[in-house]
Amino acid sequence: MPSTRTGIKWIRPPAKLAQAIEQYGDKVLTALVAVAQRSADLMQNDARNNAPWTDRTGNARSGLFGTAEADFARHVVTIYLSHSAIIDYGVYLELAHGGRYAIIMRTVESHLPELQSMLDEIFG
Amino acid sequence: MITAIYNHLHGDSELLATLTGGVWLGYDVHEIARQNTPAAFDGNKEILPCALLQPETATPWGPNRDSGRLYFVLYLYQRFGYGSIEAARKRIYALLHRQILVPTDGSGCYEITHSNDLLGLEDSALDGAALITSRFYAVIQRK
Repeated sequence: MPSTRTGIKWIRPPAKLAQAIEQYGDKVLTALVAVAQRSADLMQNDARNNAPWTDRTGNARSGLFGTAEADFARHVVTIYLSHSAIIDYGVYLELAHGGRYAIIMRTVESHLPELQSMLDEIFG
Repeated sequence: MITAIYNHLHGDSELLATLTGGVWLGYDVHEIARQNTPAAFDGNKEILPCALLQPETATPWGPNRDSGRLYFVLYLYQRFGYGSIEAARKRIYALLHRQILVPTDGSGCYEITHSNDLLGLEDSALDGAALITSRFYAVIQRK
């Protein structure tokens, strides 16, 4: 005698599935933040090592800093690489003399393939 | 590749009519200065509207082993105001964005893409000359 009951039998209810997807999203964002911070650290080290100017005080070189910031609500992760706020001639180093002493964009661009590769590993 | 880009810009009469101080290649002149590029200055040693093409970074990119990106920047200068270099910026965009150039060194080029512009700057090393930068990247086959 066939069963008269038809329909879908949920092994795992949709509510739990939605919860799992949300948790997966949080895990991905956490992994992204870790990758972004790692990338920011590498950029900072490279920028300090490769900055083309001749040091006078060393403040400009040691003031180069990289960091990452996550906005979980907006699902945005930002990587920063910047001159120190107390180095008021950072813009001069980046733009004057046809960019001969620029370091920020060169460093960011040189790290994009590595960043892309790390992101590929997260998203498979 | 950078030479092909320079030749492409330098060969455009409309761009040269706007940039009366010329288009210069960073590999050759390093920077715009009275000693390095005297033709970029008038009889009073004031800078004329001009452009400097600077290669910035070359990186691997994409799934192919020999594919890469070449980032380059155009520095556009004018003594006062931005009229000429703003027109030049737009002309350069038309000449380069989504274009395929044939490199002179035997490497390949898929496409050039505009990246970003910085507007309304000043260059204190050139007596406060007006400055615009325009950044592009070319996807290339490296050889």
